[in-house]
Amino acid sequence: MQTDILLNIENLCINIGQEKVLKNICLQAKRGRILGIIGESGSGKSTLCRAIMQQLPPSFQQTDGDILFNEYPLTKESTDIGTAITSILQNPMMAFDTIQTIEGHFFETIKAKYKMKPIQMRQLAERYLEKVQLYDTHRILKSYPFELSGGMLQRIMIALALISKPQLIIADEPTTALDMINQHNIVTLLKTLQSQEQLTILLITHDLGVIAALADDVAVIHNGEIVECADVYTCFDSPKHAYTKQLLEARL
Amino acid sequence: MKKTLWLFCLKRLASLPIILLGVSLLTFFLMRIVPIEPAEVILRLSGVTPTTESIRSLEKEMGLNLPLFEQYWLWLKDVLSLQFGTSFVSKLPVAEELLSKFPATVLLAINSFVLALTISVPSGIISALYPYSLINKFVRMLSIISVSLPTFWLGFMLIYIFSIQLNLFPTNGTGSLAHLILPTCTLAIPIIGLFTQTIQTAMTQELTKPYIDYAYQRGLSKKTIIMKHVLKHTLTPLLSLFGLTLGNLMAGAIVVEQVFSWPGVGRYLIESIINRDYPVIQSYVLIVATLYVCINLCTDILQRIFDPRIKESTYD
Amino acid sequence: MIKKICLLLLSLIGIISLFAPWIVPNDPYLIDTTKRFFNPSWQYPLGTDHLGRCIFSRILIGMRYSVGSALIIQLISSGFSLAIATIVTFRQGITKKIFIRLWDILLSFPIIILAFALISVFGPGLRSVIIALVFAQTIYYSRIFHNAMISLSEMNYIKAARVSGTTGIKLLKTHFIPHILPTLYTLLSLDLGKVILEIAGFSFIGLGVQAPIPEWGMMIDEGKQYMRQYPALIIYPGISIFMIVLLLHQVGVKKHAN
Repeated sequence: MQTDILLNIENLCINIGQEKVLKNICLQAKRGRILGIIGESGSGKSTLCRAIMQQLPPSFQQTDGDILFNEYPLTKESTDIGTAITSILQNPMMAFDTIQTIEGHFFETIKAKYKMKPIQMRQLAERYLEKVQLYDTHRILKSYPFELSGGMLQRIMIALALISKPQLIIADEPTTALDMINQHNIVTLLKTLQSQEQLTILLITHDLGVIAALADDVAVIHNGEIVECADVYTCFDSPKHAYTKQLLEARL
Repeated sequence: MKKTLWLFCLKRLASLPIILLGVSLLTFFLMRIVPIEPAEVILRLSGVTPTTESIRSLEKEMGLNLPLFEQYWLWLKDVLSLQFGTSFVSKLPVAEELLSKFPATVLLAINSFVLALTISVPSGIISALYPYSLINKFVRMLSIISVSLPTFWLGFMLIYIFSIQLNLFPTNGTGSLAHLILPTCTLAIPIIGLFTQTIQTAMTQELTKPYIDYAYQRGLSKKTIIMKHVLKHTLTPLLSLFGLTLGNLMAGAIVVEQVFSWPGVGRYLIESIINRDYPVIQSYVLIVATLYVCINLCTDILQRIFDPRIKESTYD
Repeated sequence: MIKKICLLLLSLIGIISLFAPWIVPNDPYLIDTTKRFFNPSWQYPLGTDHLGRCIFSRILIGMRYSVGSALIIQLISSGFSLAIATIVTFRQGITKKIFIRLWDILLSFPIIILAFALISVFGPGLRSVIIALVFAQTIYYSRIFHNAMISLSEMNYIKAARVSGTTGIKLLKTHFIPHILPTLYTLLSLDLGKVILEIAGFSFIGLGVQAPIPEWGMMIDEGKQYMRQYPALIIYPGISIFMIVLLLHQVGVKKHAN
C-alpha cells in the first residue's frame, strides 16, 4: 500500500487577535487511510477544518505554518478545493440552499468541474445517489432540502463530495447531528465507500465510537494542540498522553 | 411543486373579489358618514344658498333618499361598468377627469420606482459584500437620512439648489425630460433609502448562513454564489415591500405634485378633498385600493415562486 | 455612543417643547409687517417671516404641535390596538372572524390613502389628521399585536401558567404584557418619526393644521412662495423636521437592534 502523504500540515498557528486558537499543529493524512481527529468542543477542531478548506472568518489570522496538499500550499484560490478536496459538513439541514432543489445542487456542483448536458448530469447524479444507497432518485432530485430528513441530506452530502472523484475528503463531524441509527448507517456507508473508492478521509469528531469504527490513524487535539498522534490500535491500547487516557476512560 | 403553486394562485385569486367587494363597501360607506350632506355641498358649490326644501329635492334627484344598501347597489353597478359618477364641482364625469390626470402621476411613479431600483440594488449589494468598508458606512448613513427627510421639503431644496441657484432645471410644470428629473428624484429618494436598507440587511444576514460556506467548499465561484443564491433570497423581503411602496408612491406623489405643480391626479385629489367633492375622492380611493390589492397579489405569487417554503397560512 | 447622544438630544427637545411658551424670545403669532424678512439677529435668532413673525419662536412652538400630536397619536393608537388585540385574541367566535376579515380588507388599502379619505370626511384640520392617523395606526398595530399575542400564547411558559391556574386578567398582566412591551416600544418609537412626517405632509398640502398655527409643515407651505428671495422660511422648519425624525430613527433603530 502506498503511503504517500496527501495532506501535510506543518506548524500551523492560528490566532484571533492575541489569543492562540491553534498552536503548532503538525498533521499528516496518508493516502488511502482515514485520519481521525478527536477532541472536545472548543479544542479547535472546527477551526482546523475551516483552515484546511480556506474558509476562516476574517477575524482569524494564520500567523505561521503551511497547509500542503500534494506538496503544494493551499490557498483561497486553489482550484483543488471543491475538486480534489471535498467536504462533508456537520449540520446537513443547514448546509443546503432551501430554495433550490437537490437536483439544482447537484447540477451546480457538477458544472463547477465538468462540462455536461443536463441529461448527463442527471444520470451522474442518480448514479451517485445510488452509491450512497438512496434509491428513490427521481423524487429526491425534485425535492427541496427542507422536505428531506437529516440522514438523507447527510448521504446526499456524501454523494456530492464523491462526484468530483476527490483525492481527499474532509468530514467535519458527519454524524453529530444525526440520531443513533442514522449515525450507524452513515459510519457503515463511509466504511464501504472508503474501501470501494480508495478514499483518503480526514475525519473530525468528538465521538470515540466513530473513531474506533472508521479511523486508521488518530490525532488527539486538546486546547489547540495535537497531544497524541498514532495509528488507531496504538492510540487505544497504549495511549501516551494524560488527556488521551482521560478521553478513553470517559467512554463509559 | 407546480400543482401547489397553481392551487395557491387560484386560492388567492378567489379571495380577490371578496376583498375588492369589502374595499368597495368600505369606500362607499366612508363617504356616507360625512357630517355635511352631499346635497348641501353641491348647492353651496353652485352658489345657491341651501334651504331644507332645495336640499330635499336635490337629494331625491340624486337618489340620496333611497335606503343605503340600494344606493350602494346602484353605485356598485355603475362602478362595474366603469362609470364613476359626476364631480360635484365640475359637473363632468369623474372617469374622464381621472383618466386624463392619472397618466401624469403614473409616469412619475414608474420613473421613481425604476430609479429607486437602479440605485438601491447595486448600493445594497455592494455595501453588503464589503461590510467594514467606507462604502458600507456611507450607504447606511444615506439610507437613514433619506427616510428621515420630509419629501416636500426635499423637493423644495432640490428646486432651490438645482433650479434657482444652478439654473439646471425648470422649477415646475411639465413637458420635457428636464421637467421630469427633479420630481422623480424627490419621490425616489425615500424609497431608495428603504430599498437599500432592506437589501443590505437581507444580504448581510444571508451571507452569514452555513450554506454559503458549503457552496464555496463544493467549488462554486463567488460570483455564482452571490448572483444565483444570495440574490434570490434577498428578493423575497424586497418583493413584499413592493405593495407598500406603491402606497408610498401614491401618497408621495400627492405631495410632490403640489411642490412641482405636476398636473397629476394628486393635485386633483387635494382640491376635491377641500371642496368635499365626494365622487372624486371615492373613485380615487377605489382605484388606488384596487391597484394595491392586485399588485400585492402579484408579489405574493412571485414570492411563492421564489421561495417554496412560504405557506398560505395567513389566508385560511 | 451615538444612541446615548441622540437620546440626550431628544430629551432636551422634549423639555424645550414642554416649556416652549415660556422660553420663546418673541410672540410667534405677532404680525408686524414692518419687520418682514429680517436677517437673523439677537432679537430674532432666525430672522422673521413674510408677516414679520419671529421664525425661531414659531419653530419652538411648532415643535409642540408636530411632536406633541405625533405622540398623542401613537399613545392613543397603541392603547386602542392593545385593547382590540386582546379582545380578538381571547374571544372566540364571530367577533374574531369579523375582525380578521376586517383587517384583511382594511390592510389591503394603502393605509395613507385611507387616512386621506378620513380627512376628507371630517374636513381639513389638525383634529381630522389626528383622527385619521389614529385610525390608520390602530388598524396596523392591532393586527401586529394580535399576531404577537397568538405566538405568545403558544409559548410554553404561558401554557404552564394556564395549567397552574392563572387565568384572565392576572394572566394578562403578569405574563402577556411584559412580553408585549418590547414590541410595543419598538413600534411606537420607530413610527413616531414617520407620523411626524405625515402630519407635516398633511399640513403642507393644506389638509392638516390651519393658519396661524406654526406647525412646521404649514410653515413650509406658507413660505414656499418666497423661496427665491427668502429660502430661510422653508429651510429652518424643514431642517427641524429632518433633525427630529433623524434622531428618532437613530434611537428607534438602535433599540430594535438590541
